[in-house]
Amino acid sequence: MATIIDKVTLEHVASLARLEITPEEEEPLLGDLERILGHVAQLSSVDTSAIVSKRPAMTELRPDDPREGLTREEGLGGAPAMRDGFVVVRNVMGGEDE
Amino acid sequence: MNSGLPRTLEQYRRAVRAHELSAEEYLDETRRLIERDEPQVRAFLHLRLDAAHSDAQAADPTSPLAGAPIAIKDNIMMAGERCTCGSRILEHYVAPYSATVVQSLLAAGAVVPGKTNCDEFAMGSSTENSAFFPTHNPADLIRVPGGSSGGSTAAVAAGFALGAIGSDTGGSVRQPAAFCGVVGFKPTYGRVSRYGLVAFGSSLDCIGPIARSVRDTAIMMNVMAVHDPKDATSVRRPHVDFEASLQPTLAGRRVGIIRELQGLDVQPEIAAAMEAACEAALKSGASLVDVSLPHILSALPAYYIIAPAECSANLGRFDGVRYGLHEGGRDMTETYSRTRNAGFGTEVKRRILIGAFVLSAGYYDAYYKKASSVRQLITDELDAALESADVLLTPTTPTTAFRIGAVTDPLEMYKADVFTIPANLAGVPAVSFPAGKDAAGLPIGLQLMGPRWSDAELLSSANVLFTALGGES
Repeated sequence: MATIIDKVTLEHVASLARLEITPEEEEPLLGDLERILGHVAQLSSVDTSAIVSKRPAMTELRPDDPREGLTREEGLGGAPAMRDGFVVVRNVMGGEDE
Repeated sequence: MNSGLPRTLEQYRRAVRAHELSAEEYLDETRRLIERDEPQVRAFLHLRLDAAHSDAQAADPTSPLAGAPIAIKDNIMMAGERCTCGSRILEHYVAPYSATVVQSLLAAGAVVPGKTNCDEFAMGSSTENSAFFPTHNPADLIRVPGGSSGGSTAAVAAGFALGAIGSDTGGSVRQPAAFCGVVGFKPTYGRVSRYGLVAFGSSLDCIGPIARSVRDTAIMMNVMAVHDPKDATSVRRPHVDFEASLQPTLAGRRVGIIRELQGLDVQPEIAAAMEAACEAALKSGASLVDVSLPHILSALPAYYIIAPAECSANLGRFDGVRYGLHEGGRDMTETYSRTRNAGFGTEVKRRILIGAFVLSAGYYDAYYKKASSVRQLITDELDAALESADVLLTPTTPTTAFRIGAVTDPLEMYKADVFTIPANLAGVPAVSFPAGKDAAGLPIGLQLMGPRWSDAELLSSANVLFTALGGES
């Protein structure tokens, strides 16, 4: 059977998912993913040509009225680093951090 | 538990209303039990017994839950309490608000003894994927309680709470309920608000009650089933009294048996429990009908494409910036990947990778789009079957609880969900109820599925079978 996922694809997918695969993780992960994807690939034999994808039921939208919610401090309280009510991140545009 | 104490929420509520027992006294008994048995069971990630004691003192005996201890799975937020989802990435995260369902339970007089253990981000069928420790099955401590809501079902089975809530994405309330010998109910998608539940697979996730009797889950549903403007998938429905809807018989009801599941390899005692349930249904006035769902066995592979796809998107928010763990890197990209690598366990990484793969360019049509079409096919078949039958009866699981460490192959673990997944794909309600024990004394669970929004009728049917097979009315 043709390989579904190889080392290069795994590394590409991991970079999309912002995950680092350590060298020790790589072999067992490749084996697991190959078997899982091989198992789910059986769906290709199901005839779905007659299926009309139904539009999901419309969700009921509430009026766009402002109301009491979390305060800024409560909302941001879980962030690892904060300054002056803002979340602190590394410089994303290149150059040195402040 | 002492024989004089109430076994069920319903008995508890009656005793409290008759002033034979106070919420405080009951909580003290519960506390003694937790202090004695929790070191072996390990159902809780965090206990709040002192706070619960104060809450019990203040509980209104006339409220719907009258101060009953109700445990909460640790992926559902309770303001001021940690909410780890069983993950290192949220190890120190404190919930800034309470889930709507938690607010409803507290307003109805529930007292929360603690937050329960689960597979990391609800991904697993044994609670062994918790980043902190596995939970042990109170029926046999060397065995798993099932998962992912294994802490909640173990807490109810061990007497640490009269009820609990869990989340069910592919069977995570029903499968551990079956393994622990308690009742677990996944409502119709949209029936119970998910505001405050940490999302895993948003088109599948449901919050549901876990209790020692079907009646108790109905009592909990009376509190939990409210429309919530904060959850766009919450659906406004006419008021139903779930407890008052419990009928004494199955007269006129059609119980469907799914032909395609007959050939599956199921533990003999579970097959025997199915026979006993069919006999009980006939005796109670139901008729048995044979129904066909030609593609039901494609539910498992479809689910293991759709759920990882949704999880890879939902777990994108754990980036080391907005919440939880932070591992610094040279730049943002490295910060993200270092944080996520340090914070997520093996199964979560595996599912994120599968999800990213099936959604990636070149594979999307063959995997995700195909799985979505198969999901529609299975949903249409289930809807049709539920026109010729009022409920569908299946086992909840192919086996009873396995030993901790016995299932190491992820694909084998996924196969434990074969009976529970179809209800999530189709959004229909499904309940697991205890139906005897196997030769080793381990609980057996059977499942009933019903049409969308037939939650109250479904619980009524389950209650008849559950009590006929020896459960508490």
